[in-house]
Amino acid sequence: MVGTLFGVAIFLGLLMVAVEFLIRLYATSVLTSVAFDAARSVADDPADQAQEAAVATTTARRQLGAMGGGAVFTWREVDGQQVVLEVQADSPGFAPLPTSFRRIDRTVTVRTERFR
Amino acid sequence: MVAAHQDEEGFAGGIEGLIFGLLIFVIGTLMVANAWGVVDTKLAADAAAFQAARTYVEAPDAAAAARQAVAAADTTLVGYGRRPQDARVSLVSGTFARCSRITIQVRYSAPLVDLPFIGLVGAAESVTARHSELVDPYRTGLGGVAACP
Repeated sequence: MVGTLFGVAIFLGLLMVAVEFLIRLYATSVLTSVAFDAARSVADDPADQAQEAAVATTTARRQLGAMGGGAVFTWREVDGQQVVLEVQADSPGFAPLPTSFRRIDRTVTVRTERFR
Repeated sequence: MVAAHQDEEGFAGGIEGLIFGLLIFVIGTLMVANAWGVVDTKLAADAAAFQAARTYVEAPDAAAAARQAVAAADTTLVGYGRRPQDARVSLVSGTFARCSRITIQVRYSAPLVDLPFIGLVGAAESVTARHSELVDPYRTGLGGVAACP
């Protein structure tokens, strides 16, 4: 009985870690793509970047789904040269790991599209 | 007199959890992570090629175009968590002239596996992405006339 419980515990533990691992990879890719899309939409509209940043943030949160609720968007630089956006979010958790292990931090830089 | 505990009666098992767990979840997960690493590298190289090409065609002169294109690609790769020193950014076709179609290629060695908390480990397939842009025929800062087809 003890051996069976031990085996099931190991099996479930590895299953949860594997799921967490793969979901994190997926979440990282999604977060990066969403961050790039948001930065690019602001960079493509140099006329009113402040308003576009707010719209892009809202759109990005919606695209991230449940993960977008707790995401932190920090527009590091928005000007005529480039747009720098930092996004921090937590990937969905399955295994009992500390929250810091699920933290994803991405900073993307996109050149501003304007007449030069 | 028969010795006690000679048969397997009462044995429930459990060690197979370790074996199947190792085979299915650890090795299987690493295989999927390897495939995902290649896909993610392709996304990074694609975005880097796009930014490099856009930067190239908007640069003030040819020398600055090459330099700024590489810098733009490197910055984009850093945004994807990649090492710029592992990338090769090159102009594969076109010249810095009006109406010239240029193509920027970014080649990057995909990691063997991308492990959370550890990072990129090893090197697997080489991933290539290309992006093509047209140098604006009406832009300022360039001599000559546009020879658009």
